[in-house]
Amino acid sequence: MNRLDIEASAARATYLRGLSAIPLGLFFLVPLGLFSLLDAGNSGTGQWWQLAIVALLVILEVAIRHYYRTRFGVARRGRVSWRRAVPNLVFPVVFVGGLLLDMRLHADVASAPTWTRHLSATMLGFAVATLLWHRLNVGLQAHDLRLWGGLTVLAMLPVWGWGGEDSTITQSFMLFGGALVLAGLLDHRLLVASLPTQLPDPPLAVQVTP
Amino acid sequence: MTALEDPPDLDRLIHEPGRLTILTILASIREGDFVFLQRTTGLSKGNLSSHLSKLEAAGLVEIEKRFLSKKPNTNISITTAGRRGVTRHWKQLEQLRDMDPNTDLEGA
Repeated sequence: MNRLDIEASAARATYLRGLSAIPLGLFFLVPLGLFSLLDAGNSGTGQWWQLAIVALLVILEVAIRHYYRTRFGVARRGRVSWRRAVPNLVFPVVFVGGLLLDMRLHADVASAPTWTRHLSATMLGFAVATLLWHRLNVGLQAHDLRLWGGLTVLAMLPVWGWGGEDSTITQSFMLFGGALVLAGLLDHRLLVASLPTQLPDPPLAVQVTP
Repeated sequence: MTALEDPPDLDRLIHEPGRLTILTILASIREGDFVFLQRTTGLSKGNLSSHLSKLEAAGLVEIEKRFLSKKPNTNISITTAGRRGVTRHWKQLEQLRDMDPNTDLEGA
């Protein structure tokens, strides 16, 4: 029995509820990514499809939260310490920062440095923010390093934006969405594997036997 | 007298592995419900219930029975005495380990 192991187990049971990330991943993948790629979000029918998909994803998120609440219980963290507040403050800044940088660079391609045209600040921001969040909240798992570390490196390689001026952001959304779905499944698998085996209550006859 | 002849006085109520696990988990969060504690400790419903009753009687945890979305829910939080107790207990276990490096806390 080790204090740190027990605390890590409680943190995993609180934060590694990975299936909750899947609707968000699908939101990036389909309405934000695929619809932009196919340029299908601007037509009347396309907008209805987008709305329908978003509504389905919201229902899915509610169902997943209900599943976790009933199967894994509810825990509330104590007072917010600086150590826990920092990732939650840094996450949106880094997350949105990369996207804003890409929007700025692609809005004025002529004046942007040439070397920035085929990198993805959006993907870099998403991947670094997710790595930071995991590192500070629950600790980095092997699959986090492979997945988000790999995407951090990929974001800095000149493989982006060859399909047009806006394609970097769309490609980043889709890749980030796919990665969120995959990471969610891996986090959930880790959560289930890391919890101790549930012991059944002994039969009543055994309890009353002296 | 060597250090080993004067070991710290361990609180037997807290020292029981199931109760020590419950208190350590509750100390690392603010509060959790029965299902959360059951999943993270691996204890059966009966055992967990029995340990929680003893901890509540000793004033180390507070148990609140309530309804969430019309379903019964048992919420457990650690008291100040419980937090102090479990912190002191882990310090005592670490002292014991430091007195004799061969001490195995895994068996605690």
